[in-house]
Amino acid sequence: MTEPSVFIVDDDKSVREALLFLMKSVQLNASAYASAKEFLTLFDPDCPGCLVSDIRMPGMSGLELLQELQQRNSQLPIIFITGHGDVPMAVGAIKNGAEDFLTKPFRDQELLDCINTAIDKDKQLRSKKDAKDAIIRRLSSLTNREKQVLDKVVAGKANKVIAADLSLSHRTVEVHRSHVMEKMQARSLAELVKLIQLVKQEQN
Amino acid sequence: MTNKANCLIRKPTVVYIADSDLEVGNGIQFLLKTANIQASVFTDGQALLQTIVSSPPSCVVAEAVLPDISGINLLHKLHADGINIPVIMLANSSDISMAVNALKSGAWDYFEKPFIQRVLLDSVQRAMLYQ
Repeated sequence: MTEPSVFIVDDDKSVREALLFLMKSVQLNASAYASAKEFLTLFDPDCPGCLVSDIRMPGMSGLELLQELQQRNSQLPIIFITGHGDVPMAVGAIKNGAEDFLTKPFRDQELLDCINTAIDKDKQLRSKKDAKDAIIRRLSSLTNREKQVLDKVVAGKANKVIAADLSLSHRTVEVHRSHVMEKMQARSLAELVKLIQLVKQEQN
Repeated sequence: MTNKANCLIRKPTVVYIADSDLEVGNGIQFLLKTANIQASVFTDGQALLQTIVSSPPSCVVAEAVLPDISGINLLHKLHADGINIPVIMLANSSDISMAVNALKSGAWDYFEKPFIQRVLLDSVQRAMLYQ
């Protein structure tokens, strides 16, 4: 797995250099970008880590960058750092999904603590997403008939009822059902229902 | 099915206000009254918490630091008791880290005093819809 990385976005070169130096001092991978646009052109959603961004920048602001990432379905945690913050700005940032909000000057350790929390969160989100993707892959390996049977099984219908609903023999439903369990890698009905719920919940 | 079930359960429509300054509390109560929202006023956290447990409101508007409990602790306490009610905080200071902590601890919204009446009312109305 790729090592997590800290992405730094700030239009101030001295801030970028100071932050890169700080990350290096604690052996964290880091890369710095002078603008949100520059970061976005090089952005790889599969790269784990977190973003540390200034809010007020020429061109795209930090908050606009947050929105853009959300539109791209990225869950990369963002920590905002700003020299001109106020309460409404901080509240707006957090309510819109920022991970944290620090005002300059802050202690190095304060930022490092935020970064560690954010990287842990990113790790969790990614493993959740991987688990969900695995279930979706299994679902897509089902035939149409198996999917029909799956829907009815999950809805709590007995094989006999499913057979009648789909005009199939009882035996055929049993075969489809065992294929569904096998392909979905579910050992029990409860487990199957849980897998399906996990995918559906996330979609809502 | 769940939607129908939700309609059958009557939601609380009362808002609890807690502020160490009774005048501020009464002022907010009056503001909510103009929008036909019924509210009770408390001046300390203990009385607020006790009443929340016995008869939960639809939303709480609380001073960020009450005489006997900080807003963050209030949120943690509600969370620990499994009470999921939107809490709007009003702060006397412009301490950014306190605002960030409150929101990260689950506050619904956070305003500095003096607050803009229309903005607070709007936030309360949204919070009441949440339940």
